[in-house]
Amino acid sequence: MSNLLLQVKDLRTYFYTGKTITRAVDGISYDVHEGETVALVGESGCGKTVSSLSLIRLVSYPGRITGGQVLFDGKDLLQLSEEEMRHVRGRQMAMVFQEPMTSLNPVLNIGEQIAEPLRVHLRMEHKATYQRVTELLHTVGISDAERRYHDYPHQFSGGMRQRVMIAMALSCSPKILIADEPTTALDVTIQAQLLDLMTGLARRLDTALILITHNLGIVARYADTVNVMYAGRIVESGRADTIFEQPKHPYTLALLQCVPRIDLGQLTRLSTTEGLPPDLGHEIIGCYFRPRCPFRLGRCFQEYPPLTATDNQHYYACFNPR
Amino acid sequence: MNDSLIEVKNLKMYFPIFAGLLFPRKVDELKAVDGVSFSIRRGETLGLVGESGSGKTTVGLCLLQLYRPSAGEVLYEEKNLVRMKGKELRRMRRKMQMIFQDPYGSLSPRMTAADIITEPLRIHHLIPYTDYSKRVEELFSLVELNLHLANRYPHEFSAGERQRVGIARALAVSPEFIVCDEPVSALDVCVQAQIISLLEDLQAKLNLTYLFIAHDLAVVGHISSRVAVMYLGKICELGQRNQIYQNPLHPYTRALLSAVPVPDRAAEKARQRIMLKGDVPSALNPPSGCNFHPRCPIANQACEEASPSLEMKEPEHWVACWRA
Repeated sequence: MSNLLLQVKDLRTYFYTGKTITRAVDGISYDVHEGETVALVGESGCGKTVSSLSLIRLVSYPGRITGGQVLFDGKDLLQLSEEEMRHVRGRQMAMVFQEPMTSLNPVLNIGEQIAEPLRVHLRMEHKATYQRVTELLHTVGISDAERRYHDYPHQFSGGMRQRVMIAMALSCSPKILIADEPTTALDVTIQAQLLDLMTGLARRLDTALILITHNLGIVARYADTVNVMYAGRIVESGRADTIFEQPKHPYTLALLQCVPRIDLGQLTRLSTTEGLPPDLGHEIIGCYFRPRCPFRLGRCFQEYPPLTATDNQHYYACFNPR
Repeated sequence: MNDSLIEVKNLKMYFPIFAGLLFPRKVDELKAVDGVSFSIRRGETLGLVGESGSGKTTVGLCLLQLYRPSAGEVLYEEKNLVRMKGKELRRMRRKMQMIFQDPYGSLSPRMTAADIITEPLRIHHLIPYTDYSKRVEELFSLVELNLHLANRYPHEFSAGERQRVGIARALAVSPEFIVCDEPVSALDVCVQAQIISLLEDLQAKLNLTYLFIAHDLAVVGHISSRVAVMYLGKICELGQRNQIYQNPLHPYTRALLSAVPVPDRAAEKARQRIMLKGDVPSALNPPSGCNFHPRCPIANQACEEASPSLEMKEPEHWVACWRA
């Protein structure tokens, strides 16, 4: 196994709204190794986006990172000053967001936007920047780069915009690329193109990829390790092969069974899990998945199950694993 | 084909494009749907898949006459809806309802769930006013919603519950046919499974016929008995569910299916992938000949010149491709 690059330890991000405290991320830990693709999976509201924003400290008011450590290259990112953090963002860790339209500046042409991190972080000269940007545009599959340099975001299709985002994120060859639902808004054929492009480039640049998605198919296709999140916590984690072959946590099982699959014949019925994830604004005693869990025990009502390890780095938080 | 409930013949929907400030004149046409024919049998689910901009929603709206098609026929029990208007059409609408993608956008924020559900009853004067509460009760139990939610407003519901309200509204007038336009694409996977199962139960219980429009091939494959694949306003392949999913003949269908990742490591590694180049072309300026040829991995000269029409390659399996 390659070198450990990023270590997230017991990270907590809470939102303080009025009297309630919403525990959006409540003590998650995982590792990212060099060049590896790590997936964070879960339903909406399970804290996957907030946890990734916490890594690069972009959580805004009323959210606050209240505990834990994010160790990157031996430094705790949560202890850095805002100035030092600016050197990490975009340079060491970059992010691709879900909505390419809202995350690009509509009044700047895309060439300028891709050039910005190059000027800021690498202090590149004007001419070199231009050359590097056209190169990048070419790498992400935008043909006619010299002309497209001067185009504005609205002149690009959704897939092309996301390519621009990828070019921007990879412009400074970061060590870690965080992709937050990068293709959810796009059509399947474009989705496949982009994910192949992104994982291919990441491999070539030896960039680790943190892939946030709710689509288990994407996880199966691209991830090396998987962290399944539920209600602000990681309920199961391990190598992708292990998770897909022997899921231990009932929630992972439910996720895998409730999606229809195209490679099998027509099933008579999908297995459904009733109910919804809990409201994180209230204190919950016991396992968070308990109300929806078909395998719950008496113990599940009293305490939150600790992470249990099996062989080959497979962890799960359940008293009654499958 | 006498068992068909709906027959669509050569349906076309062109949207005019105007230019000029003072004297706008028609400069172009957007061919959203360009010559689509299919039939839907009573009690079946026809799935309609395609990428965004392929015209699948427009087909759905044309069936219900929410858009008046530019050309073609929509026969409902052999009556042509395209020629109908006014009272006659309204009477037909009672038999055809729609479920929308975005339950939040399609429910009035100022009406309670009970008001929303009874509005179709008021419009069609189906039952006396005094029976409304009983009907609401029935509908709520049909869509498995708790009756104490009846006086709540849409914003108080979860996404899944909201979609159930949308379904209850469609069911209020006891329709025979429902157009489901991306009914689950805005929902989380677990909720998605609940709503799909509900739609299946309702179909069995009330003998409904669905046109199920979605971009998610897995969902369409799960619920449909037959599937039509659309690309740039045309149907490129139409057949039984298993024909389309296990033996796709059109190169677009093959690419589309291979692009969908499967949540299974072993199966995913073993699968053959076909990667399409480029974006979907604009419907304003579609390519010559077969509209798929610029992205097609097996296109040749013939494909650039003439557009193929749907041909039956095996029983019930229709493909529009020169090279299939």
